[in-house]
Amino acid sequence: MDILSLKNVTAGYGTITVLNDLSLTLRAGEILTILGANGCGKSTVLKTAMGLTRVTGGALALGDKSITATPSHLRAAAGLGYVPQTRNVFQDMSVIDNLRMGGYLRPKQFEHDVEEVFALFPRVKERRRERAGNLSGGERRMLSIGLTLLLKPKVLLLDEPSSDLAPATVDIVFRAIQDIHTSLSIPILLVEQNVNKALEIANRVCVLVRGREALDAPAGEIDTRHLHDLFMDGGVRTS
Amino acid sequence: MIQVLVNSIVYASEIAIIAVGVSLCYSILRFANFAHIQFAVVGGYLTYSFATIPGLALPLPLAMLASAVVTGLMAILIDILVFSRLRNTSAEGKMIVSWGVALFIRSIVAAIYGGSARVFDVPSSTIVVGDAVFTTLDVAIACATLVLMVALHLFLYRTRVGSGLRALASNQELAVTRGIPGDRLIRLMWFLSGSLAAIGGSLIAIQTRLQPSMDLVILLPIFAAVTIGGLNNVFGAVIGAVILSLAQNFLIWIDFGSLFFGDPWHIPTKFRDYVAVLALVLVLLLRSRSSAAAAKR
Ligand SMILES: Nc1ncnc2c1ncn2[C@@H]1O[C@H](COP(=O)(O)OP(=O)(O)O)[C@@H](O)[C@H]1O
Ligand SMILES: [Mg+2]
Repeated sequence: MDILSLKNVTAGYGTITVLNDLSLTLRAGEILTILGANGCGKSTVLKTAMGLTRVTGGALALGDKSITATPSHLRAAAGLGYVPQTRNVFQDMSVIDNLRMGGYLRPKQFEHDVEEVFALFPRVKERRRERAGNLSGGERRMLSIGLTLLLKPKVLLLDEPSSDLAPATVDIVFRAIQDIHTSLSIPILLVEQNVNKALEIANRVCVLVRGREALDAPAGEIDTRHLHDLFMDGGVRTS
Repeated sequence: MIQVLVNSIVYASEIAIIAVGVSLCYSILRFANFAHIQFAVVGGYLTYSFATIPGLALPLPLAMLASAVVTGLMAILIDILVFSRLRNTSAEGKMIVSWGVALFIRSIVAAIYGGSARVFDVPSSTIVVGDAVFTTLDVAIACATLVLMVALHLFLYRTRVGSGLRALASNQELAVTRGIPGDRLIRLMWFLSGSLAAIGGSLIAIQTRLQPSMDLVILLPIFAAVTIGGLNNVFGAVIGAVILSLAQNFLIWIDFGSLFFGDPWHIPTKFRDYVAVLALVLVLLLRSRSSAAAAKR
């Protein structure tokens, strides 16, 4: 079953077009990873799914409902959980207030739900009185994922959850993603630069080149040399 | 000395109530809204009308409440008609348009009420503490401000919707993708800042008098207070108002003449505004210094 689909979407910012006639589908139960060189439009795909870009063509659907014209806050209410790559916490608010904002739509369940996040990321619980701007990169990443889970999303959109993290923290974050995927059985659209990690976790991989889809294949069938060729114009780590 | 302190507190109260609205708006929409000053003027006139129109003649607190509600709705209307269409315009663009809106409101006020001054007829008795003389009205103004500021703080920090406003100010894209209804909360922000300005404007009008030119009198202290307090924090404006007011009143109170030359001489009262300008320049200089130092680090 298709959970989230983009059909022939053209989108960008202001007068700039970034995505060109892009079609992409996230199916039930899977982790779909989007790979691609820097600046090819991976983050823009997720922002477009959340209604943060200017869409000039095509259609988006969540399940069987069109969300092409739905404002961002209603997409969140409809079950899209989005973790941005940068600026993904409320810097000048406390960690606990960040979590509260993550659960803005479920205030009554907050006290219960937040314990689940604390169980997943004990470090976030330890730091709950801290200002989010004072957290380390890894703590901030955990908080950004945790506060998104408080929405009880039906779909998770993760933008480079491993970027700028120490290797040990990358492992923690990926284990958490795997955990979320299996325990909550929600499909995940994952943008990654770390190709090996991405291939390890993904069911299916889609490669973007300059705002268009250049490859869509099950993760097991991906030939890393072929990936290299697709990335010739952007330096992607395959190590 | 106590007298100067009392004067400072009353003046700071009036400025603070109006100034918080400027920072509230800035924190979310990132522009300095000069039309905000006119919200205060309109609020003053509406209070006057509600309190004096034959047949209505509301008691003053009720008149102020009605004025606050109407001015708040007016701020929302102006957003719908003007500012909401400029969300993606530069901050400078919005600021210039806000001047246009200010002039527009000003001419409407002048057309309806004319240029002559109006005075509120408020029963007020004098209180003497030591050698300081102040009125029950002064006390009421300071208390009203305190209550309003505490209420605003509780709203912003203790309620879900208030926290939503802070989230929106902190990171708009993150906020709306959490399901926080940005447009609705922006309207709420306009209502709050419009009605606070109306109350502040009414208090100033009650204490002095009502005139269309009142906007020019309060423009400088309000934007000086907002600048001194910093635009990052809504309550910075309150601190800015207190600092500014103390500086203005104490500099005028100090007998520089006796201090340096033996004959009593004070800075003339009309130089009050220059103190505000001086404070503004000092803050801007110090801040650019410290941000340059921070950039070096
Ligand atoms: N807010 C924005 N305004 C204008 N251009 C943008 C904006 N965000 C991204 N871009 C441009 O869109 C292109 C794709 O960016 P992005 O989706 O962030 O790429 P990726 O995530 O694949 O590195 C880049 O050329 C970038 O410069
Ligand atoms: Mg990106």
